[in-house]
Amino acid sequence: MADKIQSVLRLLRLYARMDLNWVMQDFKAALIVVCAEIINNLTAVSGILLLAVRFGGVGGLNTDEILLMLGFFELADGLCYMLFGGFNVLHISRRIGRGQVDHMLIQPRPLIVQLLTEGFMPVSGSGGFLIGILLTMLAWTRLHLEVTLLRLSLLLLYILCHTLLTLGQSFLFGSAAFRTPVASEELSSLILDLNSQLRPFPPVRSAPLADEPVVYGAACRPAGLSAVAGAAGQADRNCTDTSRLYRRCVRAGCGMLLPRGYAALSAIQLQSIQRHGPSKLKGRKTNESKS
Amino acid sequence: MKANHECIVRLANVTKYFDQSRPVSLWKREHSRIYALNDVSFTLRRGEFAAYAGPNGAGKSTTFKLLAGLLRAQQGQVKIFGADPCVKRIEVMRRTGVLFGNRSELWWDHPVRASFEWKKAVWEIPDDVYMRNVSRLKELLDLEPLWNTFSRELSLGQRMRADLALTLLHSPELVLLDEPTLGLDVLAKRRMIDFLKLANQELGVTLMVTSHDMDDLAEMANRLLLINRGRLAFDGSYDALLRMTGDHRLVRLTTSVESPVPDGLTLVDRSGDRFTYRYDGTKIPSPRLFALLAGIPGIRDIQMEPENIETVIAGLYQKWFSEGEAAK
Repeated sequence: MADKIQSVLRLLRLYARMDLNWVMQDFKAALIVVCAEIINNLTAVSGILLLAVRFGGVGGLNTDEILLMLGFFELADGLCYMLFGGFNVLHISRRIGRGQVDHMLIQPRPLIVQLLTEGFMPVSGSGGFLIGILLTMLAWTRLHLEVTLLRLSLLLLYILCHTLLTLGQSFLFGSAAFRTPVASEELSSLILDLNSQLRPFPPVRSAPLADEPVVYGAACRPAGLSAVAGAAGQADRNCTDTSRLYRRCVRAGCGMLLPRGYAALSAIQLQSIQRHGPSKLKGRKTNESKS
Repeated sequence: MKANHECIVRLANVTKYFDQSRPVSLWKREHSRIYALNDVSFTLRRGEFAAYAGPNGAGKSTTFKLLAGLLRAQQGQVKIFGADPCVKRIEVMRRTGVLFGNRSELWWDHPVRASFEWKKAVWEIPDDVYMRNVSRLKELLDLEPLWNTFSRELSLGQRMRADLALTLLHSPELVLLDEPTLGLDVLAKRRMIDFLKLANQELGVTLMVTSHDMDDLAEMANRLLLINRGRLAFDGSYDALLRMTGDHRLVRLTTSVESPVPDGLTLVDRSGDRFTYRYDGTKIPSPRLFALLAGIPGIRDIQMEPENIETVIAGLYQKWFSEGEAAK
């Protein structure tokens, strides 16, 4: 086990170095890319923030809590992008659709290790993460939240859940590209875009079911919901009594378990496709044309 | 290098098919099964240099994908170094190099050097082996001028050289090359062929190569495997193939008068006063040919040569195609 972890760390270091080299090769271009990403992320959150400022809050959260929600999402999404954004790991359907999984299969490394490491880009992909840190710190300061171990742990837990859910969704839907490579090539992007489109909206108080784990269970996870859950948890909002605390734990638990389910399904599908080929028409009547 | 008896690759009664589903109308789909490989068996011993050829869609790439563990056969056994490449993928890939000519393993946005360093880390190549191989490959494939060039800036020939070096970096015992000479000019092709021969003879690498250029394959490999419509149609040496298809030769005559067509010869080309005839060397031995030519008046020049292997194979493919059409 220790060997495997060491091996993953070595590969992460390798990809980090490659990313740094890429940045240093053309520093100006890389700086433009990072700045554009920062501006893009700021623009994405500014709309809802301005609305919150104008109306003194949105969806039951006040302006500072909205800021915390946006900060949380930027942080979680930025980290996800930084860890898995490179070489289309996050957009796995592109790799599958373009036949690039072949390149992975000829490497003497387990697929899971390759998927965990190849997308790491700590320098060029850090724009969203940096904005997330900035917004979260700003929100914490404005909400006068103490930085405690519990709060930090909770933040990490939510970020982990978010990352696993995002990866799980992308891989689960993206693996459809094994069957229909061209049609499904952009499926992962569509799923991730869906999250991005929904991320600034805090519908937590607008729908009674939205606050419940069933939202996760139904897999229709508007990213704003998990961000709100994260933000509400961070702000200690409605968490004074035990039932609220219980809900929070259930949410976190679902957040932990569901991605595993996703991952398991993806793994099964991947394995099945690798073993039997992309087309399985077992049990169907076929016209055999031996050629 | 002389092949020894150790079996590196073994395919035993391998069948691989793909199920297809085609829409025939808005509501109806037609399902069919295409056999990419049908009961194919062969072995490859250590140190062999085998050419794997066949017409488009014959099953060459599928075979390579099965050997590389990218696909799994529905029937039969595929063994590389005695192991199933799908099950023992990691162990097999440590000892195998795979190059698909239409794809590149180089990191596009990085210098060539970076791809080699990446491979060193991913394949866990020891420092001394890496240094030795890099310096040897740089020298043999003339990579020094390309070393710090971005992969995206390389020409096709340069990219193929760099890709080939990358394939051999971890000292693989078996190398599978799918169309390594694709799109290369005459000089680049020559260098590639020379290098592959060297890799086989001096480094002892077992090679299996596909190409549509039969002349290249004939020059490189000492064994030819021909596949047609998923079935192994021929397995043997080039000489054996020529014996099977007939020892076709060409004789070119330059004459001052109209040349008749002697018995047993077929006129295949005429350009001004130059006439090209084809004949079967097994049926018309040289003394008889000379006797036939002696009867032609006004000969100014005679040239004789064996028929191009490419033409022989093209004839074979055409024959297979006609047989396939007739069978339908």
